[in-house]
Amino acid sequence: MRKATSMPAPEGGGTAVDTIPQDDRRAAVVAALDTVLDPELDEPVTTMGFIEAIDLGEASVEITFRLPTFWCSANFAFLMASDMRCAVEQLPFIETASVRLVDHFAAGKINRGVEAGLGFAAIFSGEAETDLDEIRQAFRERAFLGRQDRLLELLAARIGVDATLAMTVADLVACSRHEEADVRGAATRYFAMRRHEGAASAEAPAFVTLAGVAVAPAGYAAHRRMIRSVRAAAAANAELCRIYLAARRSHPVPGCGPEHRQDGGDDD
Amino acid sequence: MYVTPQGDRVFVVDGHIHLWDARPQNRRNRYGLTFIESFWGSHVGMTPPDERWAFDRFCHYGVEGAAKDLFDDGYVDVAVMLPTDLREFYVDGFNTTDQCAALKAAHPDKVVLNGRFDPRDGPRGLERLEADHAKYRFKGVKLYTAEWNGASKGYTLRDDIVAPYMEKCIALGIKNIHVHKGPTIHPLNLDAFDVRDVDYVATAFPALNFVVDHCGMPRIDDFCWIAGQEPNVFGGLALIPSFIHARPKYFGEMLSDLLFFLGPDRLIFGSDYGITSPKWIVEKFMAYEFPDDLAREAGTVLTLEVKRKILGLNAARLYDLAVPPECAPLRPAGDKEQTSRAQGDVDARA
Repeated sequence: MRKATSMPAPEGGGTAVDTIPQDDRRAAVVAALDTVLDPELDEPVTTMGFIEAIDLGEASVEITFRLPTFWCSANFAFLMASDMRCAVEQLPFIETASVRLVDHFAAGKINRGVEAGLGFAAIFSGEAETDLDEIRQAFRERAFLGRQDRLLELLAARIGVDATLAMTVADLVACSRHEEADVRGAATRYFAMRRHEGAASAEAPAFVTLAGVAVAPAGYAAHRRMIRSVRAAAAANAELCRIYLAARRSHPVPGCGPEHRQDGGDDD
Repeated sequence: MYVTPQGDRVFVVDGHIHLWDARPQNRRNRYGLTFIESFWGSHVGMTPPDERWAFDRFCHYGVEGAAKDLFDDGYVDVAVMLPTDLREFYVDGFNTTDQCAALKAAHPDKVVLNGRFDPRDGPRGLERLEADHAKYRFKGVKLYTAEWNGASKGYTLRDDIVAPYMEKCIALGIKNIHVHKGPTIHPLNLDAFDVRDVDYVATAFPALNFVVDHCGMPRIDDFCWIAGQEPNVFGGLALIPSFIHARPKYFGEMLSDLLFFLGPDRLIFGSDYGITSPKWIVEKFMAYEFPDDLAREAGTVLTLEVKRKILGLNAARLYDLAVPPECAPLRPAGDKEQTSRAQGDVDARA
């Protein structure tokens, strides 16, 4: 599909997009894909190892991705496919972008649907009853708690529980420039969701429950115990995905390799 | 029976056993191939390299293979079989009650054979359950809420069609309801991941025990939250102990959460055989100790008594199995201590 906006003209002193070296363009595609998260795991599709191939043309790119199993959830697969396409279409040197899911039970439907810009409900008409936004929201909440847990763990160990819980959103922003990379990363990741979840003002408390209530020192231990289990569940699940994906590569089942791929997808 | 280096005997009930047939001649379609491919990935990734099978054996290990892996090599005293029909993928089914019955016939004293039903089958399904029960005398059944059935892409335990089946189970004396809440096929709807329907049905039918197989993974946290509040909900561990070789850290974290929220009396060991085998899992589990931080998080250390409960005594209670006296814990099992410590002031979900 052609992008609606035309490529910006290179300005004086800038680099014309058609002269960007191939390696840099590939790196830009990877960087764009780095922003696409598996919504269930809250980890980038790149570090999870889902990207099988990036085929760059003159002004086009085709992303081939493969999930840990043939039976991975269609809804997450669809979200990742459409997010990937959006991410690479933002690149100035890309005019057409396509995404190809392979070796998956819903590959054909998802690939055709994303190509046509259809929504999940239209692709799986009569099959999926749950609103995809509801699923996205459910996992956004889990990611929010998981990211909060990581940051609380780091900060409580450094400045204590009371000082941590007294932090405001403004303090959180400052924290995203912390001298330690671990803290910086965790704060940035948490802030990205705290900002959206509460539409929070600078004076609002940094650490809140899903209901938006500030976490109080008295309830801290119980709160941490709960959100720690949220983070642990997601982390274990991500490990399971890595295990499956590694095995799918190292010990392919006869008849399930690339040479057996069906053009239109396995659900045809 | 597992015997520790100190001579302590541990009664082992493997609460999650299959006897499947995924050979090419039984595959109905490409799904039959890709389904066993997914299981194979788990086998390869979780199993220590020197314990891995060849793919052909993985497709079909048969009654003799299972008996060797479980009873000769795997320390298993009693195997609880959980059927999976999957007739849409496999000509004669994947792991049906009838297929599983072959292991029961060969080792009647070592096998608990569970049945299955699908409430969407209506009165016909009730009749089939009755007929199956007359033949096999079930103490438990296995349900797959995310399974497709005709036009339906899954159901929840809240649905009105479920209650007549639960009432039928009570009437027949079937008291253990295993519910698959874990990685699943054709997962399209949010309901496929949801464990909250267990809460509803467990409250509605306090006379029944609900074993949530795979502990809701990947939603263990949701499961912990629900199970902590329902004394008749149990954690069927299958898949979680399988992490113990490849990812011991994550195994420890999951187990510490489960122990904290459910306590030691409601966790049921399962090797998920033949995805993974009990031999190396039981050995590694018996050797496993929590690091200090996880023991703190769990609220308990993994004493011999806790390990005995998880590996066999809890399942023995559910299935009325006779436990040899030398395998019994020093103190009586804490039936009255089944409530969790974690409820009440936890407000993360508020």
